[in-house]
Amino acid sequence: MSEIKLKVTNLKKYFPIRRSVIDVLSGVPPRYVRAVDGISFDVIEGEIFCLVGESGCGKTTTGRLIARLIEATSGYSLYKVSRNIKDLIPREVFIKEDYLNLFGKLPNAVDKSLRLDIQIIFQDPYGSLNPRMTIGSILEEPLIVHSIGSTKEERQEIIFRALSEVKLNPPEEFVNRYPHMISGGQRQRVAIARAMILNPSLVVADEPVSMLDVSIRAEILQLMLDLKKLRNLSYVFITHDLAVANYICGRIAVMYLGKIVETGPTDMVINNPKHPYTIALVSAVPEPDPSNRLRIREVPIKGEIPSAAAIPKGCRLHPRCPYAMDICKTKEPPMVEVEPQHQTACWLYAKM
Amino acid sequence: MSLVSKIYDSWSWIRKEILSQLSGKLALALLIVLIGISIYAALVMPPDYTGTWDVGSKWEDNPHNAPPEWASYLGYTCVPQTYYDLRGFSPALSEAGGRIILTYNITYNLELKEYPRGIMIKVNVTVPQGVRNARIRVDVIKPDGARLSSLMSEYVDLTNTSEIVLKLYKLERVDAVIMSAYRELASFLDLQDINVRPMVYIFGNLSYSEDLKSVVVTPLTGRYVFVIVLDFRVLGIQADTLLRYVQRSREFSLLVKGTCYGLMGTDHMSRDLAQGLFFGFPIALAIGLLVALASTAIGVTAGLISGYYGGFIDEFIQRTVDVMGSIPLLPILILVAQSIAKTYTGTDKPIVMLAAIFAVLIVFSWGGLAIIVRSMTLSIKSELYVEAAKAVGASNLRIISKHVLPQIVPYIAASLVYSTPTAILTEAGLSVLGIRHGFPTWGNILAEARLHGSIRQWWWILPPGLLIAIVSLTFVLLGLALEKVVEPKLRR
Repeated sequence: MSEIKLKVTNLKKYFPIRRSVIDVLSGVPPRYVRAVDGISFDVIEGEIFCLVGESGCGKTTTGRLIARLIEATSGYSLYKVSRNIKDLIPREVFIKEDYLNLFGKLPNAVDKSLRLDIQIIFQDPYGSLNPRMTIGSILEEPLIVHSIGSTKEERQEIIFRALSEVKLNPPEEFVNRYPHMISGGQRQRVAIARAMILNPSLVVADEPVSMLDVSIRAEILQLMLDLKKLRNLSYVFITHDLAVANYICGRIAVMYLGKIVETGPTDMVINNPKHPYTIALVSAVPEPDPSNRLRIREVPIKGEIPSAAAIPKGCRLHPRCPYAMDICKTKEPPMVEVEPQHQTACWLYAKM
Repeated sequence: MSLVSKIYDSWSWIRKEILSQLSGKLALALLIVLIGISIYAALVMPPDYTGTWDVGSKWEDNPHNAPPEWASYLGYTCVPQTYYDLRGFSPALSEAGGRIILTYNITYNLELKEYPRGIMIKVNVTVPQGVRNARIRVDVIKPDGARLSSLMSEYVDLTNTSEIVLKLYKLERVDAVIMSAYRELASFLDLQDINVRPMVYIFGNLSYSEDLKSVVVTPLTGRYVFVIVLDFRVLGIQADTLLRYVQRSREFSLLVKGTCYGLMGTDHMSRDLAQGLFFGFPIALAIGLLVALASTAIGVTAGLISGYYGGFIDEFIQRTVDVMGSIPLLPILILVAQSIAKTYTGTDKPIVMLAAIFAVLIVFSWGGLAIIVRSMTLSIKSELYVEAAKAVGASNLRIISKHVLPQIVPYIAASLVYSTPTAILTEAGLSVLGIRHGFPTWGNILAEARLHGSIRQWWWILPPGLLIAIVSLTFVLLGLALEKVVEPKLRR
């Protein structure tokens, strides 16, 4: 069994809601959007761990927290630093062995070194590439920032290699192009190349294929799988598409309103969903085989996801849940194991 | 791709875009002309030009309030400026009782029905030892036979010096001179009028009005003779020797001022307006660009910091801009300029005042741009590619210079272009409002025209006004063309 790459414990991210002067003066307590509200999960080395959920459930915020683009409100993590950058980080930063806490205050130098090790691929390849920069200069930026390659020729060499690694061949045809001159799939390949060029060990992929044409999704996913095999990467893969999750994920965590409601190996979660919300998600996936149509009963979840600023008391799903009981309205359900490695947070399975 | 070629590429793109529009073509043509004139003027500008503009003695050869020479095509009677270098003339010599008298008879033909604007005699001569004193006297014999005796005269005591440096242009007791020349009209002459406009009486035909109760003056054409008498009291000096000295003098001349002058005429201090306007080009462009560059630089920096870093510094900058925006600029400008005008006494006062005015202008003009740059920065900052740059570890400075700044550069250029005429116009406006720094700007010329001129002196009022308008127009046209470059939605 592989070691744990990243262990996240009780991670929270609250965004303050701007208060008016009158609010401040009249002592109305500050309100927050609780985007991520205490989630815990493990990412195992070499695994693709998926965060699944509908828009606004906090999965992207989680990804951005791991990529350290935003600061966590609270939370603790153990992150195993790869061998490449271990020597760059002073010993006292490590908590135990090769592990350090991503969400704590880290010295600037450590922060910069960690950027070599954790990279992010964004959902929108149209927005993540600066339209005024050529592909070459987009890929050169990380190298310049981290002083990789002493001469321009050396950096050019690295860029060419990165481009052919993501199957943009021949690379010399791409370096001088601007993002608008290439297709969406090619753009996402460039974005992947940018993430990979620093040789990271953990990549956060934030819905990397959801903005691409269906025809090229598989190619990009296959490319990511190939790169993972080649480099022994770990992915935190964020998606709302269960079909994609089913194809690529090792383990899966279903998020609803800033909480993980169900987690476990992908097969178990998708073929045997326990939480009403997961059931609803799975049943919403179009099923190509008509005989499978009735295998999973549809759950008539009603209404829209509530605002993360006004999270319902008790179980977060209870206003929408067809099985809601009295306890659901008052107490939050604990995580319970329904079968080995498969856990869910629902009063239907928890002992009261 | 190197930086130079990148800049060249974007420049040639902008140039192509600008040239594809009529306003752009016009603006570029005007700009090239303006810059060309400015560079040429700056190169040939005498180093002390700005200091001597207000010095009256520099301009005394010129007629005052004279229209330009080409005004003759507009119906003005232009009596030409007539200059006689008296060193080349041979005077009548006479010696008697220790005195040597040189008499020059200079013929001046007045052909046009207009009164010359003045008479000026300049002497700058070293006389030999032994000349005790000298007297110079000017008589004028008019075409009608009247002799204006001792119209001008000056006495120089030479016991301690041998230098005669004289400028004769004052008319001593001109009323008495005229009266004695026209005894038969004496009781009807308006003495005050003679003193106010002596040239009219010197170069005019005096006759009774129809009712025989007053004197009317009309221009008198014909042959005038200027009798210039140099009367030396000497001790043991030959007349020939003295004449040689006079003929070798540094300057000895008679000037009958015309009524028109140069390309652009003159103002009340006889200053050549063509010079003022010509050297006004680089000054106008310099102050315009200086203020525009400074306020743009401050505005962009403040906007970038405000938008990118946010938080307290953002709040601080934005509130500062708000406060600045609510203070009326004009009273502050007037206050600052007046307090400097009252307290500062150095010789470089005009420049200090101008600098203070522009400092105030700069301080008050960066706010608008700061707000725009801030909002642009805010929107660019939230772009995904900025986040991607952060994810690879790019520093704030790198993100600002590589991702944010390149996108707002076109707007900065447009703002620079638009704010350039503002400084020129404000300076002109202030001058006209009465805050006079004395620095020879177009605005200053206009302000003096307002103070000392009248609408009849159109050559004094129209050209500086037109030039200010043309410079403003150039930059506004350029701004219009640039606007379409930076805002593709405006393109057809």
